[in-house]
Amino acid sequence: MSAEILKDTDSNGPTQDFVTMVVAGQAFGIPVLHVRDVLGPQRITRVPLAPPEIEGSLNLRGRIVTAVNMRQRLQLPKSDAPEKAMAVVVEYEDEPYSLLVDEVGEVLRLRNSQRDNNPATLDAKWRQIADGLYRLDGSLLIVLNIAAVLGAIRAEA
Amino acid sequence: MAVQMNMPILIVDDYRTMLRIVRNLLSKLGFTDIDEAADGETALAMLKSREYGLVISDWNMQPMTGFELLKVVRADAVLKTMPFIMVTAESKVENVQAARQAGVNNYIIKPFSAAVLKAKLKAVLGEF
Amino acid sequence: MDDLLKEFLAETQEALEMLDSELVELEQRPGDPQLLGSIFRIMHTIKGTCGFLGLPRLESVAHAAEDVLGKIRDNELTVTAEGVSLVLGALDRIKELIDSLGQSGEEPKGTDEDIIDDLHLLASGKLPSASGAGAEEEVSDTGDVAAEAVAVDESRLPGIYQRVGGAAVFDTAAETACTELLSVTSDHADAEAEMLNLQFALAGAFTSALSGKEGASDDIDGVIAGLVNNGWSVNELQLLREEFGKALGSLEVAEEDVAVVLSRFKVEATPAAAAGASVVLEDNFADPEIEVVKPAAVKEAVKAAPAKKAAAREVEKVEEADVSSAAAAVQAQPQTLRVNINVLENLMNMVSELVLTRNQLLQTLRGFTDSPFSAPLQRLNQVTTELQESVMQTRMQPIGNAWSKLPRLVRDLTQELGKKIELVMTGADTELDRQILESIKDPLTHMVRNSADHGLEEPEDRRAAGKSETGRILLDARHEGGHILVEVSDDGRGLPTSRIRAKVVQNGLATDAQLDGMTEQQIQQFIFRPGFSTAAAVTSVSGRGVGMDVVRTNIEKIGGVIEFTSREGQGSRFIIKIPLTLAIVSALIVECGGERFAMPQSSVIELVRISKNSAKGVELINGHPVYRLRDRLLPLVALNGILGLDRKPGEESSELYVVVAQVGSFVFGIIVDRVFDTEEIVVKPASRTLRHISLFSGTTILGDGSVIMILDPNGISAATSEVTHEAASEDKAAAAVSSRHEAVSMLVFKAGAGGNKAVPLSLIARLEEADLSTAEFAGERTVIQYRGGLMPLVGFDGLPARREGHHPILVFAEGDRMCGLVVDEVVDIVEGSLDLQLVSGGTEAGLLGSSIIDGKSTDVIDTVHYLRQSDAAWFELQTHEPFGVESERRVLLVEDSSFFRNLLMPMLKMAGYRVTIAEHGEAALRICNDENEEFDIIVSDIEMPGLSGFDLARTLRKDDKWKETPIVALSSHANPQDFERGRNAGFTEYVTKLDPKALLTSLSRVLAADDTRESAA
Repeated sequence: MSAEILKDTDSNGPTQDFVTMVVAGQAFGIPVLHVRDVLGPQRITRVPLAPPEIEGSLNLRGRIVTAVNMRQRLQLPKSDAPEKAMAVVVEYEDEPYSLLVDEVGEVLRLRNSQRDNNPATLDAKWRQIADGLYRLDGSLLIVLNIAAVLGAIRAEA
Repeated sequence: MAVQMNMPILIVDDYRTMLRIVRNLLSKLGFTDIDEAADGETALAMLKSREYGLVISDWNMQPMTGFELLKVVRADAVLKTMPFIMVTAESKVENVQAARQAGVNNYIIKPFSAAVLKAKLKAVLGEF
Repeated sequence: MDDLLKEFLAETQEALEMLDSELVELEQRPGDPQLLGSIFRIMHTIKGTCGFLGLPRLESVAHAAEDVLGKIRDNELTVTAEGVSLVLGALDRIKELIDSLGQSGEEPKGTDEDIIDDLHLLASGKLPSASGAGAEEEVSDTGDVAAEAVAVDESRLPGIYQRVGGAAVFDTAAETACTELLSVTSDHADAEAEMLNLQFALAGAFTSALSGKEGASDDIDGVIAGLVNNGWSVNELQLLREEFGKALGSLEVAEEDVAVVLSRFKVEATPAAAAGASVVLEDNFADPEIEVVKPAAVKEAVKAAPAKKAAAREVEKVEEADVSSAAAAVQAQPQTLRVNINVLENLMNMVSELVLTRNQLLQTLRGFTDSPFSAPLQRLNQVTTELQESVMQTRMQPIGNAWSKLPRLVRDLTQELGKKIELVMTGADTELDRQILESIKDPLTHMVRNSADHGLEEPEDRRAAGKSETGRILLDARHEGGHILVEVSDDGRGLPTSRIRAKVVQNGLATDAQLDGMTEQQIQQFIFRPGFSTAAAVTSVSGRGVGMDVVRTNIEKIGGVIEFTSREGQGSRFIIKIPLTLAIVSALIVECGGERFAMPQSSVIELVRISKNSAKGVELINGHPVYRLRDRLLPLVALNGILGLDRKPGEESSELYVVVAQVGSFVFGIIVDRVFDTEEIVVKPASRTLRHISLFSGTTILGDGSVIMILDPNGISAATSEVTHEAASEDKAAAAVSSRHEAVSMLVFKAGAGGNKAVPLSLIARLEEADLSTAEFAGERTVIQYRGGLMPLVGFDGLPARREGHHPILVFAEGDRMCGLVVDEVVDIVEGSLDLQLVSGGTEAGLLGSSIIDGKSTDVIDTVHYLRQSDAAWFELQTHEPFGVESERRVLLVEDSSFFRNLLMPMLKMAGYRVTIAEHGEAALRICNDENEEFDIIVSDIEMPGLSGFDLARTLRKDDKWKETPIVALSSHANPQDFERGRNAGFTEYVTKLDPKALLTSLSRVLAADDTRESAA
């Protein structure tokens, strides 16, 4: 006998909900369960000497959240309207991060069967941070791997 | 006799992990109302404040052992018929005899599976 | 990782830490049943829980250790050092397993047979070093090597015991089978009890046979033979076998495994086999067809089952235990509740928010004395403070938690080093913040290790030195002011200053000439320099590349101070002074490059404003900017430079600020653009993505909601030039050492504009509160009815004394004269020591200067100024007072501490003396050598750099002019030896400077005696 009899059961439903967002024209999705909050433009304190992807820190109801500029992180050109950036708050290793993106879209319910596990044709740039993708009406929704997006920043540090 | 699955059960152990294990096993068997006490004194207070259908207590606790808890329960006018299962890590006939004399309904040897727990509960509570 | 596993790991680690120190205690108190019980219990619980989690390695090691402990508890084994070592070894293995479990989530591959075999040998009394008191029985158990292989479906045999679910399954199956049998065969009253015996015999036999115990395989045969001898028919035995098998099946044992188990149940066992088992026959049943074994018979049959005796004892003990006494013990236990640390952290954060909001409110409403919000705000203020204190209290842990590993460490070192060491710990219940506790764990361990390894001598050396063979390491913790003092000392050989000197010169840390100018204590502090080590040979114990410099760095990181003293041949002592908490600190908010930052106030000594145009005082030395502040050169560092921030071009201001900061003994200046207020900030750890930036120690949220980074003074000091660092620290070391012992109580209050104000508590007669609307005007003065008379009142800084509502009043009194100073709020009474230095001269009327009190810059008020306001005649009147008779007496005050100078001078003036100041011994000599100078009395500090008070007194006594003049010694700590030494040097009196009144009385007495002497002559 082992711990498995004691584990809480995990139901793997056939669909999953995603919060969608756009960064430089590319659509991304994060499983809705991983998203703590979505915020409009925030006052962000810049942090000297921080890694370039770190936009700064902000105060979210008394918690200090580290803001990550997703364009910078994904090596995309700078935004024309950085002041309009939306923030998607996620948690990684017990710490809150806010991912700064151009737009936040609706929540999509997608069938697990439609998900593609990073096809070989996927751009290498995306493959590092993708956790699979969905093809939707001719466009591509890349599922963001939060650990890959945030873990690398820490590794450089 | 049918066993009510929503019957309140009190589990007593001074080791958090064990409380959690026993709780999980009981939930697995379908029991829905499980309270926990981390020591004998708390357990006694809880037993007096709520009508439980069963107590499952560890033997080896401090400062009040499960055995002492059992004796107090059996000496209490209201609680003396409370079904009481003792959890122990040793299978010694002397221990079990002593516990039987003190009025324990049954005992379980650690570690145990849901199936073993079910068999013991059946022995104490009847079929379910 | 599974939550359950996580919880198990956390709980087990707690339990193990507790176990460590208890095991060492056990060696000292081998017989202690309570100690044994609790150690046994923890092992037992670990063993029991592991079975559920599928952790066979942990389970078997804990089990083997538990066996040994059980035997010790039952007096079957005697506690020996080797035995304890073996159990400690098992503990170490358990910790290794737990550690790798914590990392990978599963038990590592490998075997623990080495340890388990040793433990089994020990348990059986076979380990030569362990003396087996009652081990004979066990010897015969394991001695019978009759590992008889059974030829049924052998392939399934390995691991079958674990696979079916262990003892619990055999026990339950036997119970079910016996119950079934009982229901079909008998309703005899005793049958149930007898069945219990059968059940145990059966379950026990299967358990030992299948769990792989040597020689236990024929137990099952023995039980069956016993039944046969009791007249059980083959049919009945078959029924039992069948029910047993069915029960196993219902307990989810695989069919194939049931078959293997049942193959051991040989119904056709012959009575001949039973003869060997010597079973006693007895008919206990009314139903003649069924006979059941008596308890005695079953006991015989299960003879091979281990730990039988132990079990019997346990039961006896259990039965003796008095329920009422157990209940009493329960009551003595403090009522506690386990709370997740995250909950506490959250609570702390919320309280912090509350504190900040409160601060904002107070700020906003300041000046609106008549606001209807005043009263509720006052109450909110009070409740917030109390709440903050209570929540801080929940984070407090006894320092003993950080010490729990040390007894074990010392014990291991004792064996490793061949020394005799006694570890004495006092004040283990002293509480401090958990975060700080974590930070000092390693430094303390290092210091204890250091004492054991380098400090204490070998037994023969100690004997030769006339000491007891057993060396002593003392660990002591206590509260002092707002700090915790932790002391690690030993009575070993000490660290000879000559060796430190040699090493310092050898490593080029200082020249001989430089060292000549230093005191012994200053030289001793060199051991905290990077790269310094006096160990002649690197030993395995301390030579691990961690030096005392790392210890110092760690202590300073949490705002602490460490000091080292040593006496050759008598021992060494480390004293660590650390703050109570790190969670809420007072910080100076500064701006640089348009961004704000928080600088912990504890590192800030003072602020200097520099006009950019003149940049007066800023010089370049070797290309490094330095600032000349009074008599000292400070290395400067520009914050925008090290942070890589550009100054915004449009915001050129004509001023710069220098934050003078101190880290350890290094004082330096940080150039910033602007300086705001100090704020109470809540320290939050920086994000992982930012933690590598050494210039920041954390982050915080300000009262206005913005997030700012907290500067790390350590990181900034490292960023300034190493050259200037070394040069400046020499100089500073002297000052730090001399001012360290000077402590004084200050009353901190709020009044008028600006931050906190303070006044020496010794000057205040009483604290009162009165309704000031009842104050009256008497001529130009404001007075109030007080104690049956009229007391003059003065307002702070020119504010009117008469106003609405109740206000606190500081009452100053001399004889029957009184004066009240009206203030806004009494904040605290602070025992200041190290931080108490007056940092600027008393330029403003009513202020002596400002001082860092409890981490905050605080104005120290000039009481004389206010007394004079209240009553211009105060000083004339003073002359009628007991120590005011000698008005216009001339006093020379020799004192190197500016704080005490500024404290004592107004007091002496107040008492009517004419005071001349000398800032050090040499200056005093110069003044005294001036023919025109006449003094009626000389008051001199003892501890001064350069010419000490003793030297000064000796020199003056040789001079005809001064040989008769009374000289009073001032010291912050007076003891009889000092007194004697002072008298020999030529001092007339010896008083403590912490009590200004005592000084005045003493002066008055000495002068009176002097007058008598003079008139007699």
